[in-house]
Amino acid sequence: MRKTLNAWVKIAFLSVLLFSASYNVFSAASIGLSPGAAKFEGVLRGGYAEKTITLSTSSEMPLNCEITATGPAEKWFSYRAGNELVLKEFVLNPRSHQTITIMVAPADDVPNGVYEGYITVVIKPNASISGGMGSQISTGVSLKYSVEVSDVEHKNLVVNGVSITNDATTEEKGSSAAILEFSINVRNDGNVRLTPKFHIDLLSEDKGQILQSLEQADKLILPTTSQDRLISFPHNLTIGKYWAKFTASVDDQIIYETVLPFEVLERGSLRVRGTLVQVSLNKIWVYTGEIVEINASFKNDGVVSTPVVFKGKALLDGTVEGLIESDEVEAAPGETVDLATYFTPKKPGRYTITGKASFSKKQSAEKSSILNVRDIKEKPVGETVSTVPEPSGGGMDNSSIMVVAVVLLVAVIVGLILWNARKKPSKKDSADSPEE
Amino acid sequence: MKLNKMNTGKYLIASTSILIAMAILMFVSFTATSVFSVNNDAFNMTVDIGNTGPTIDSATMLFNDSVAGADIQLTASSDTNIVSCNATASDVNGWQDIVSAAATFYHTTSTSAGLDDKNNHYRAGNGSLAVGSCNLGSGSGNTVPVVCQIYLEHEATNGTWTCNITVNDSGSLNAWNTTTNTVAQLVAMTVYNDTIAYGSMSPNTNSSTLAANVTNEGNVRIGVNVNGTAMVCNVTGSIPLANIKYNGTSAESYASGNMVALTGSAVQVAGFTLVPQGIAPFADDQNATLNTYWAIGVPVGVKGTCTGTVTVTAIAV
Repeated sequence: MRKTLNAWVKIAFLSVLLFSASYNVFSAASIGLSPGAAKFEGVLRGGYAEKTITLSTSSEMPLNCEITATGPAEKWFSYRAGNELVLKEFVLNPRSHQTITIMVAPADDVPNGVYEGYITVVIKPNASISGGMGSQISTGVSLKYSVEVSDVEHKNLVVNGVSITNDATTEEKGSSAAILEFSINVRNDGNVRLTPKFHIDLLSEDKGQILQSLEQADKLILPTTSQDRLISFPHNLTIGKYWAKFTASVDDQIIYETVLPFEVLERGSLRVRGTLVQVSLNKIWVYTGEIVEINASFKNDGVVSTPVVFKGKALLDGTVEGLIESDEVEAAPGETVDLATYFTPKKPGRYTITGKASFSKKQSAEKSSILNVRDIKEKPVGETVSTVPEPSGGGMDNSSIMVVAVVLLVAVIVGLILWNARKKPSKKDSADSPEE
Repeated sequence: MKLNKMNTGKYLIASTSILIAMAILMFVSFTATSVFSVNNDAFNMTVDIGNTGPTIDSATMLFNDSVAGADIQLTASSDTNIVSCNATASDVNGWQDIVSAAATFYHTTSTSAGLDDKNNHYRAGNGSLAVGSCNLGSGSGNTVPVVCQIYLEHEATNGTWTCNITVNDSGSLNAWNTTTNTVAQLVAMTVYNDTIAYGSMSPNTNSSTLAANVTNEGNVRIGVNVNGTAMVCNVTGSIPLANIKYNGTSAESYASGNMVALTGSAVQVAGFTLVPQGIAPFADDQNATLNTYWAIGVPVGVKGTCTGTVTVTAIAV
C-alpha cells in the first residue's frame, strides 16, 4: 500500500515537472517584424506618409505589446493596429500576424534632412519572480526608420483597378431606379494630398451613344495611402448590354481611363446562374475515324435547379466540320455536371472543339479544347484505334470495302457455278431431249 | 438450240469473266486510291499536326503579388509561409496537351538547378524533396492556368527570389519562364527564459552568472539591444542598474571587467551577432541560438524580494 502510494507521489511529481517544463516552452514568446526597416522618402514638412509592417508571433497566448519610437523623429509617429489607432499598447493574438501601420507627420518647422532612429515593439512581461532576486525578461524587436524631409512636391495618383461589383444584378435589387456600383482602388504615390475626380459615362452596346453620365469629386487621399471607393450610379437602362467608360482625373488632367462591359438582366434572372468550367476531351491525339468523347463541365451557381445542354461545333481551319450537342442534364444548385457527347473526325488536322452551355434561356461563356487528328494511313502497324462506321452518309474505309467486295464476288461465282450445274443436262437427258 | 446452249455457256463464261475483272479492277482501284491518296497527301495535304512545345508568357506570371509590387513578408518562427507563383501556359496542341508543371523558388545565392535548402532553394511539384505543389487549372483553347505553391520557412534569406515554372506536354517537350519578387527582412527572436532568477542572496554578495538564451526566428543576422529597470525590493531599497551586468559572448563573473552595466536606454550588446537558422554554424533544422550572460551585485541595505525588468530587443545587423 505504502509502495503504491509512493509510486503515485512520484508520478504526480513527474507530471508537475513535465507540466512546468512544457509551460516554460510555450510561455516563451517569439516575436517578429517584417520588413526590418522603414524608409520614408520625400515627406513634406507638415506632410504625411505611412507604411505597413507585419508583426507576428508563434506564442500560444495573447501578448500585450507596446510600440514606441526613439530618435529625433520619435514624436512624429503614430500607429494603427489593423484598423484601430493605437496610442501605445495593443494585444497580439496567439499564433497570429498583425498589420501595423506606421504613420509619420513631420512638424511644420523642421529643416530638410534625413532623420533616423528605431521603432520598437516589446512584449510586456507577465512572469513572476518566485522568491529572491530576479528580473523579468521583456522580449522585443526593433526596426530602423529613416524619414527624409523635403520641400519638393510631386503628385502621383495611381488607379489600381475599377470594376462593376454588381454587374448584371441591377434588377435584382428590386428598385425602380436600378443602381450600378463601381468599385475603385486608388493610391496616392506622391507626397501631396490629392482630391481626384471620377467621371462615368454609360454607353450603348455599340459605344456610339452616351446614355447617362455621372461625375463625382472624391474625398481627400493622403500621400502614400491606398483607398477603396464605391460609387453608386442610379440608372434607368432597359434590359440589354452596355458599356461604362470610367475616367479619373487630378487637377483636370485625366490620369486613368477604362471601358467596362455590363449587362442589365431581367428581374429574377440571377436566380439561374451557371458557369461552363471547361470543355475537355478524353484524348487529344487521334486518327481519322476515331471516336472522341467530349465532356463539358457545367457548374450551377444559381439557387434553382436548371436543365442544361452543351451545344458546340468542331472547327477545322475555321470551317465547321461537325455540330455537337449533348443530352440534357438537370443540374441542382451548386452541383457540377458533366455533359458528354461524341465526335468522329473525318479529316486530319487540328480541330477546335468549342461551345457553350445552354440553360434556362441563358448561355454560358464559350470554352474550347483542341483535338489533334492524324490521318489513319499514318497509323503505325499494330496500334489500335477505336473507330465506328459513319453514322450517316459516310463511306467505309478501304479494308472494309475490300472484304465486302470479295465476299460478294465469291458469292456470285458460287451462285453462277451452282446455277450452271443445275441447268447443265445429264448425258441421258441430253440424248433424249428432242431437238428444237 | 445448240447455238442457244452454246450462247448460254459463253454468256456465263463472259459474265463470270466480267465479274472477276470487276473484282480485280475494284482491288486495283482501291490499291491505287490508297497510293494516290498518299501521293495527294504529299502534294496537297500538308497538314502538320505534330507535337509543338508549350510556352509560358512571363507577362502572365505572378509571384505572390496579390498587391502589385508587394514584398513577401514572412512570420516569426513559422515554417508555413505560403508563397504562390502563377502563370498561364499555352500549347498549340491544346490546353490538355500540357500534362504537368513544376517550379523552383530560389534566392540569388542559388540557381534553379541548385540543391534544396531552406535558406535559399525550394521546389514545388517535382521530386520527393518538394515542399509544395503545382496544379493545372481548367483551361480553354490553347491556354491553361498553372498555380504553384510552397511553404517558405522563416529563415528563407531576404532579398530577390526567382520563381521558375516549367510545364511539360504529352510529348515531353517543355517550356519555362521566370519572374522575381523580394522576400522582406524578418527580424524575429525568441528568448526562452521568462525571468533571470538569481535566487536568495545576501547583501554585499554577487550572484553567479546566468544565461538567457536568444534564438533567431527570422531571416537576417541579428544583434540585441538591452535596457532595463532597477530591481526594486519589496521591503527596503533597490538594486541599481549599475549593479546589473551582462556580457554578450561569455559567462564572465560579476566582478570581471568584461561585464557591462545595464542602462535605462537601449544599448547594443557588444560582440553578439546571431545568424538565421541553417546558416553556419547552425544546421538546417538546428535552432540558431546564443546565450547572453547576466549577474547582479546586491548592495548593502536592501531587504526583501527585489525584482526588475530586462528588455532584450532584436535588431537587424
